[in-house]
Amino acid sequence: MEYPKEILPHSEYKTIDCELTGKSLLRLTNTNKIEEIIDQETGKISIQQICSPKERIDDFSLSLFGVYNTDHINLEFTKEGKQKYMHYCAPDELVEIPIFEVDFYNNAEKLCWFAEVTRFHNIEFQFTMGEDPFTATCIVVHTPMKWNYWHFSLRWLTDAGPLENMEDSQRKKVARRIGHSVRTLISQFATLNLPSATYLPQNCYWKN
Amino acid sequence: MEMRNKVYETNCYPNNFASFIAMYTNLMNAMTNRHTSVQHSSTTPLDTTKQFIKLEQSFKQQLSNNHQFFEGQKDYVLIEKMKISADALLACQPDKISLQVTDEGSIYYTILKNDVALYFEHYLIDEFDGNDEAIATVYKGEKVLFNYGGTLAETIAQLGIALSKFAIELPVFA
Repeated sequence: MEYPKEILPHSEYKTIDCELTGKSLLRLTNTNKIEEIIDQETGKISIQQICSPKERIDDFSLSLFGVYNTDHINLEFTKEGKQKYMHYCAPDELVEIPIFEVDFYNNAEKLCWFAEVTRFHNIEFQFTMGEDPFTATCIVVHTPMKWNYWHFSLRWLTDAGPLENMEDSQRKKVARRIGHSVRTLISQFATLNLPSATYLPQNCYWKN
Repeated sequence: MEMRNKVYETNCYPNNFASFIAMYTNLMNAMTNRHTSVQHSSTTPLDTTKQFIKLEQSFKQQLSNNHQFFEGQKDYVLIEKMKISADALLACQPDKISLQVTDEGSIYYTILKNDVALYFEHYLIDEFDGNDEAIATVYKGEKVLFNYGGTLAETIAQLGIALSKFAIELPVFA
């Protein structure tokens, strides 16, 4: 099995700088059992399929649906592969092609859900901290990784400053609110229905 | 109902919890009375009791499968805390309600009523300021109608007030 080269960073790629309205994001589930992915009572995506416990929900990983698509969701990295490829990188970084059964293998026990970029990008949540109001704004950022150029992250801007600069108890409190906001956005808008594939114009990711 | 009322007699909650429950019940009653002349919920008290039992069973099962999310916490305390938030939320007579435990040591409720979705998260561990914390978000379609985080009592009280403000848009959400 060959690694899909179309999802790797490329020497001619740049950071995606186009408007992403109409595009969708994709996120893997850790099971392919529909009854575990969907909350049977409400029909919404199950919380356990939104974010794994080991992951930081305030830096939430997704992929842009298009070049990266359902053909790629079964890629699973080995321990060694994770060490080599699960890192952020420059969009034009030269990356060795991952090797089957050394760096990655096929894991059919996965599915994915989708949500439109506009459901997340620039969405504001207003909260109070004690008596003080504060706003957290979700932004969708292109964050290429060595294994996947089409990797994106949900990041958060707050008017109380960046999370990492906050003192511990305040940071925990804000992170908790952000975690809740991510969960509600996904609960409300994510779907298992395949979006129509919309490819980005080449000038959005290709240097000149 | 008797079983559920016993929840309030335990002493593992904030001292002001009884007054909060009274305030919340009054609020919900006022909202219900305001709208019953024109709107009828399809959810009956019997349905609500069944929903409560289902939530409790679901919580107990998830708790036994995910003890690591609630390290150092006693099951009976967690269950009693769950009963408080579940009971308060069921006052809005949801069409559908479910709960899921999260790795953050919270209960994440999803409540659907007509075209409104309410997401309510009750944190059972690492409470700030000594009280259980809760965060609520209400959507109608694409729009966030309400968002609030505070103690469990404050959040439920604010949620009730907010929903009463939206009574014109959400006439049966009470």
